[in-house]
Amino acid sequence: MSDQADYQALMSDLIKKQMVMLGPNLVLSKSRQVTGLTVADDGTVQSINGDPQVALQELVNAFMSLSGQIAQMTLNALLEKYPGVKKPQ
Amino acid sequence: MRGKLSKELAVSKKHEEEIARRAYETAILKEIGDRIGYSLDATKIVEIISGSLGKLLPYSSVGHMIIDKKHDKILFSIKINESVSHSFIDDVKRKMIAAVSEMTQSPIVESDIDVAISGNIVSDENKEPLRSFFNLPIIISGSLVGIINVSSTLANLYNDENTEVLYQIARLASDAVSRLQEVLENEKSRLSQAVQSLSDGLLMVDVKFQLVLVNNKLTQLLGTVTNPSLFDIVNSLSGKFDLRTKMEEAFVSDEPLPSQEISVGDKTLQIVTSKVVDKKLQKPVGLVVLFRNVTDAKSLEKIRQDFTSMMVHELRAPLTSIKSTAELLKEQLPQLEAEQIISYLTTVDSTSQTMLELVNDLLDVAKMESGKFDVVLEEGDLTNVILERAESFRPQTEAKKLKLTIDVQKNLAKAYFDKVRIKQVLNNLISNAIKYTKSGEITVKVAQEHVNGIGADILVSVTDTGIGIDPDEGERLFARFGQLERGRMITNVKSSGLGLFIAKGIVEAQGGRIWYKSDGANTGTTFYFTVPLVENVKKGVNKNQVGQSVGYSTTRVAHG
Repeated sequence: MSDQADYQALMSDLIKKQMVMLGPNLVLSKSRQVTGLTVADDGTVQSINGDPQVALQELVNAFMSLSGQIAQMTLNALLEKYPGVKKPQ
Repeated sequence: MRGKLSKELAVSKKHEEEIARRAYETAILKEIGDRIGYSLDATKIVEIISGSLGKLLPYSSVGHMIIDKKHDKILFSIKINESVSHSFIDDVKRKMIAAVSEMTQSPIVESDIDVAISGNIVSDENKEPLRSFFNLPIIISGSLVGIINVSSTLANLYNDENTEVLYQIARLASDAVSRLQEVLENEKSRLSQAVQSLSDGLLMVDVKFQLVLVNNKLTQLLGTVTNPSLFDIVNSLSGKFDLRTKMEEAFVSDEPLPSQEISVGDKTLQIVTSKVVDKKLQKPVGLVVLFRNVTDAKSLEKIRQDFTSMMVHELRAPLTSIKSTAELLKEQLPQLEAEQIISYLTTVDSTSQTMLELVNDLLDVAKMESGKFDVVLEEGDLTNVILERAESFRPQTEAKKLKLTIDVQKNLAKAYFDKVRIKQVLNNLISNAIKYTKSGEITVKVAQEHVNGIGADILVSVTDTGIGIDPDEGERLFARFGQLERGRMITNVKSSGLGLFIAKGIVEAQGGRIWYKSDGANTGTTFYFTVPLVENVKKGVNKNQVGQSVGYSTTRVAHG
């Protein structure tokens, strides 16, 4: 799997988990504000335009503002599945 | 123009909404602050936020799930704002369970959930399903304490814009409580450490007599298991102290109960029971029971009493003797022969000498205790001092038919000692040996110690074939008033019990050591002490020991 695909899969997983935790409308609304990200209604990231690391950082920041440590813990668990993805700040 | 106006109106409306959100945020945070105070009750935060949605958002229901870790339960409470069906409520519950499971990474069994429904009518005729919802997690100190769910039958209702204020409130409230909890945890930890490090045993119970805390010292004092239950503690005091009844009495009593002393094993414990009252509410919230080990204080008190009575006896007997002799001399002087007068005056002289020695001993002890004891250290030959002192006891050994052997190594190296004080040490050890030996031998030996072939200190020993010392008797031998009880009883000899304490002080002030060896009762005893060699003192071998370790002042007299 390429790095880009890894980023796409990780962000899809993260969005879907956040949808279960916080509710779909809110999470989709937040995710779709991330620059360059196209997100389907089920939370799948369909495409990333631009630097995926920047997109991931923006997405994580958005979720951190909603659920703080929970978003952080979810991300940490997912990062173990995708070792090719650099941990956001 | 109209376009500009409507644009300005839109901006103004947005501005008003923003102000309303801020006002709402401030009001909720204030309410949280007022209502939770310092209770750290996260449930209240959840209840306040979920109960204050008002007209901020349209919603059909607002619910919350609280994780009750203490009872391993989850409490689900839902307030219906617009009539919904049971299936709507079930759906809300399922979504909240899924959210909590995902957040905690642990599956939740539905049977572990207590449900409470309030508010508007639940009507199954209303077929509107759940179409929109969002969850608001409440996290305190990194752990999820609950979530708030806002749900509606209308679709696509909630977005980041209209929910932002709630997340902001939840975050600020969580942060505030987390910080408060951290402060309280630190305080609690400090308090717990303080309680654990107390030299007294302590337990605390709440109003229902549930054990709140017990420190390690109490388990040591009572000899209970580690982390005992209240039953274990009550049991260990059975027959000595009715803890349960005392606690009940303390609860109903307005005055503190008087302390009580009990014996547990070889210890004497003083028990103080005291009520803990919440100053604000003015009602009892628990009880503290303090167990103070007063064994040493009791034993010291007994020693003081014994010492006082012994001193009275020691001073009264010679004073009576001196007074009677003086009276006799006064009344019968003309009739007395010169020899008789000399004999009476000799008695007065020796009796007053004994008293003077006792008073000097007391003064020495007082000086030692205040750190003002002074030794004058000089280079000298121990041989002559030892021979002179040991020989001076020969009349006494002969009177008791004891053999006195004096064994002094030839050509002893020069030592460093106080020429007056060392005689006190020798007098004490040799007189004790004679005092506590009925038959047999007293040996005074002096030799140079060698460590790995190198000359160390001079070792002086006084060996007797007397009553010996059991290991448990020897513990207090060098302490003040440490005379052996058995020695006192067997020999009927009472002493101040200060001699060995003073001897130890002198030996240590000279930079030496003092100790004894005995195989137990009736096996005889050897007392040893060391005197530093001049050579070693000059080399600095004993530099740190002379006088320093015991805090006495030393004066060194230099010789050419």
